[in-house]
Amino acid sequence: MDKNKYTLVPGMGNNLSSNKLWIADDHLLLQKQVADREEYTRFYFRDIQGLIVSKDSSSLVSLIVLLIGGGIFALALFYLNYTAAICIIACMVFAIIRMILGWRNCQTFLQTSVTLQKLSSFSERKQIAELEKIIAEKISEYQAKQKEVLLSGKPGVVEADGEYFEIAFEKQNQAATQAVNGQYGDTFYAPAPSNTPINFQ
Amino acid sequence: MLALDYSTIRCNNCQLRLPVYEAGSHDITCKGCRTVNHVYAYPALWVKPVDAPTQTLQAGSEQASCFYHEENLADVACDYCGRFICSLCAIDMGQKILCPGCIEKSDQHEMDSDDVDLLKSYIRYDRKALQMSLIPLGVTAFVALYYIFRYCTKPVSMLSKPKLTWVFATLFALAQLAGIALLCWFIWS
Repeated sequence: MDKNKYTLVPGMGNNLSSNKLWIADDHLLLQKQVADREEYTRFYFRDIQGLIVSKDSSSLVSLIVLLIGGGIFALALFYLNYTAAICIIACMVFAIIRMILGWRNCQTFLQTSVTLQKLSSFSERKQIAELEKIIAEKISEYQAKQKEVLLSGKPGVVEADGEYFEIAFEKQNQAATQAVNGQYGDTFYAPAPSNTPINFQ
Repeated sequence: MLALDYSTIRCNNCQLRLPVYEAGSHDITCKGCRTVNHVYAYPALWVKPVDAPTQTLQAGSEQASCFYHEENLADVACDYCGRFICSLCAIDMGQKILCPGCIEKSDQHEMDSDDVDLLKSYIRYDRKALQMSLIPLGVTAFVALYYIFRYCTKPVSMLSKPKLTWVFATLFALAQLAGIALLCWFIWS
C-alpha cells in the first residue's frame, strides 16, 4: 500500500464525517464509508470542471425541529414518567452536541464531465477556500492543454499533444445569450462573441 | 453522483443552469431559488475530451494479434498483465492502459493491493470484527475471532493500517469469551 502517495487535504483531520478527501500528484481521492465498505472515487485534475459552493441551512433546520419536537415530547413525558423524560432530554443533549460538532454552513459539489459529487466533509467556506487554493495550482498545471485549446479559438475537434478536445463554444454562447436575456439570476456578464476564446482571470 | 452534460454548471439547490462562461470564481444568484452559488470554474468546463479517431487494423499472419480479438492487430500491451491488446480493448485509466480482463479483476479485488490506482473499495473486516466483538451474544465473539484470524494480515484499507482496531477487537472478543465461560461456571457450580 502506497499511503505516502496521498496527503489528507488540510482541515479534514478533525472532521466527524466519514468521508475524507486525499490529494495525490494528479488526482483527488474521495474516501467514503458505505456500511462496512470503504469506497474510493478518483477525480483527476485534468477532468475537474468546477467547484460549486452554496449556503446550507439544513443543520439549523434540524436543530430547530429537534428542540421543538424533543422539548414538547419531554414536557409531555414529565407528567407521565419522570425517568423517561430525563432519558429523552439526555438523548436530546447528546444529539445537539453531535449536531454542533458537525455543524454545516455550506454544501460543496465537485463537478467533472460525467459526475457531480457532493463533498460532505467540507462544510465551511474557509475549508473550501483552502481546498480551492490547493487544487487551483494543480489544475492550472494539468489543464494547461485545455486552456491552450480554448485560447486557440478554433471550433470543433482539436488535437493537443496527442489528446483530442472539442470546444463547447455553442454552449458558451447559449449561456451568455440566456444571461443577457435575463433568464438567469441577478449577476450578468457581458456576452462572449461567437467563436472567441474564453477569458481567463 | 449525478450524470450531467459537460459545460454546464447547475445550482446546488434547484439544479437550474447557471451562466458561467469565464474561468475563475464567481458568485451567481440562481434565478429559480435565489440561492447564491459560489462557483470556481476551470478550463475543462468548456473543453470536452474526445476519443482519438481509432482504427483497428487486421493482423497479418506474422504480426502480433490482440489477446481478445485474434483478427485485430495488437496496438498496446496491458500495463498490468502485459497482454497484447487492440485499440478496441485498450482502456485508458489515467496513467495506465488496461485490458478488459484486468478491469474485471480490479472490480473483484483480485489484483495486487500495491496497485493503488485501480482500487475502488475495501471491505473493512477490522470494523466488522470490532462490531461483532462488542455485541455480547457469545457466538459473535467467535465470528469476531474468525475475522481476526482470517483477515488481520490482509489489507483492509488503502489509506490506513488499522492495527488498533484489530487489537481492540481481539481484546473485546476474548473478554466476551471469558465472560461466557464465567457465566457458565456460575450456572453449573
